[in-house]
Amino acid sequence: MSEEDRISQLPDDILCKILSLLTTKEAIATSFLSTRWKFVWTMVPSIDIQCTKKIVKKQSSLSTRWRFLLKMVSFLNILCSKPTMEYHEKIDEFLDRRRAEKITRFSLLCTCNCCFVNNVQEWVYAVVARKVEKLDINLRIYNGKVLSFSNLFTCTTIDTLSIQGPFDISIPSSAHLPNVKSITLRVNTCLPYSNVRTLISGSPALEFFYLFNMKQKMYNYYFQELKIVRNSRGMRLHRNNSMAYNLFIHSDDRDSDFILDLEEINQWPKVLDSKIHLTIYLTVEEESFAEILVAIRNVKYLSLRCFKQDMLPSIHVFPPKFWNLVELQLFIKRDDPFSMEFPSVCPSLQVLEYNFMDGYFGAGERYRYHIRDGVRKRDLSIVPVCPTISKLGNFLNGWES
Amino acid sequence: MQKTEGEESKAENEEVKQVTLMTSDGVKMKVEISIVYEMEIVRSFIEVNDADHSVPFPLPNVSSHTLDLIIELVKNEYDDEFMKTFSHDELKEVLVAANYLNMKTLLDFIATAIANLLEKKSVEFIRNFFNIVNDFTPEEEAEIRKTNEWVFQDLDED
Repeated sequence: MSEEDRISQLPDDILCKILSLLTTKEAIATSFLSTRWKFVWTMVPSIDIQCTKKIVKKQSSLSTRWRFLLKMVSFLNILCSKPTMEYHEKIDEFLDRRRAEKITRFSLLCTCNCCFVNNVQEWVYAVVARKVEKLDINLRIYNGKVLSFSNLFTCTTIDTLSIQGPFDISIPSSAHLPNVKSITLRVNTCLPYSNVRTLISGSPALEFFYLFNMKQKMYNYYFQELKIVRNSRGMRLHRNNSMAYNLFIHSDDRDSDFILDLEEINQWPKVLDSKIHLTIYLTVEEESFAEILVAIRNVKYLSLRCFKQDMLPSIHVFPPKFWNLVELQLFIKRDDPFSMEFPSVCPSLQVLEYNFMDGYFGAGERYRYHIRDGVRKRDLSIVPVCPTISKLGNFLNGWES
Repeated sequence: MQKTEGEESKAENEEVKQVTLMTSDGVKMKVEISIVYEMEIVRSFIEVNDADHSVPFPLPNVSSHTLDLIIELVKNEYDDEFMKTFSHDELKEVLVAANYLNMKTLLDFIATAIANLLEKKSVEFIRNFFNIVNDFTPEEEAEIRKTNEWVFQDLDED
């Protein structure tokens, strides 16, 4: 049909668009196609470096056993194709060959240990100096060093930042990212909350923040997960602590400042006009459960799901006074003393809902009462069956677009 | 969504507004105005001239077959599965046409599809795919090969 080369007649920006969807290496390879293509790659605004090992090309000719062995060997990083970085000793030299004015996206994916150990910081420095807009670092294996990016956390052009990998990362106290909208950090270190706070308060345009840290102690993994979504509808925060508890806070005020107080659990009382969904798991310690209840004691709306009784009936926390609480929703076992105790500490309560979980995920009876002048009136308009609830909840669904 | 909107306006106006396009192989095709509006080149002409839609708008660079494919793609809201039925030639034709018609969404969509096809492919494969003639002198080629030796590792032979 088309014997004629009509593709090469397309304007540069169309060709760049196609090349920007390939890795930088593949883009550079197109400089061999013809003289028309010699410099097209230099105008591609994004840089995408992927260092993945390709073990043996024709795997099909190998027996299953050999393929398995090769997989094992590659897992141990013995085999590694000649890495991109080894060739480019001078990053600046490489970057200066480009003609694109800015770097819309820099992404670096490395699944081998050997490639970027010494160069990743240098790369980040160089692309930040060239006004990078999106930065995506994903190193699968890294030998346990601290990555520190000297100029990254004061970059004024960056709008999306994602750093993932099993390494430590240091965040300077001077962090200021005026245009960043999205930050994802999935790292191995347990970042002190003072650092998280610096980062959030230094990022006024932030709409999405995700932090996941994991640490291994002996054979146990501990993790902390913090997710914040801010948009015109307000703000949602999700904190998940090694499956001990799961806390969702929803505030109509997108600039609600309580996120800055996460460091000190006893400062949470600023959480006021918010809606809170709190799930307590059986691994929670009595002490931290009590602390959380104290921290959120000023809220107006609370939905509490207790999975704790399943294992340790001995854990019992008597709730503090919830002076402002207007609406309380409980998902509890029928014999949980909370069903009596909790409403008794809420003098302003107007709506009380019990969901008795007969099975593990709910599906028992459901009662709702409207309270006026201390008199409970049962609301018969609701479905009298406790909804099936998932352990993790889908509270953030539909909020991240 | 699109369908219901179309039906509503149909009920209101008795018929959906259409624009006649004339393809390179001389076929006159009536196309719904919502689809035509994605083609910046036609849209800007219609808007300026508040045109008499019965006079066919000439598209000397787009064949009737390619235009059919584009209309189907837009109607199917850029369905991946539908596009997978395209031959390589059809893909290229659609890319060239999308650029000529200045259809932004279609361009993004088709560029992604082509990039996926070219992923990890050798220079020879891409040359054949696009019918690109190698116009380098052997010396030039050797020189580029020298500066960019590393990019050839890991690319497929075929």
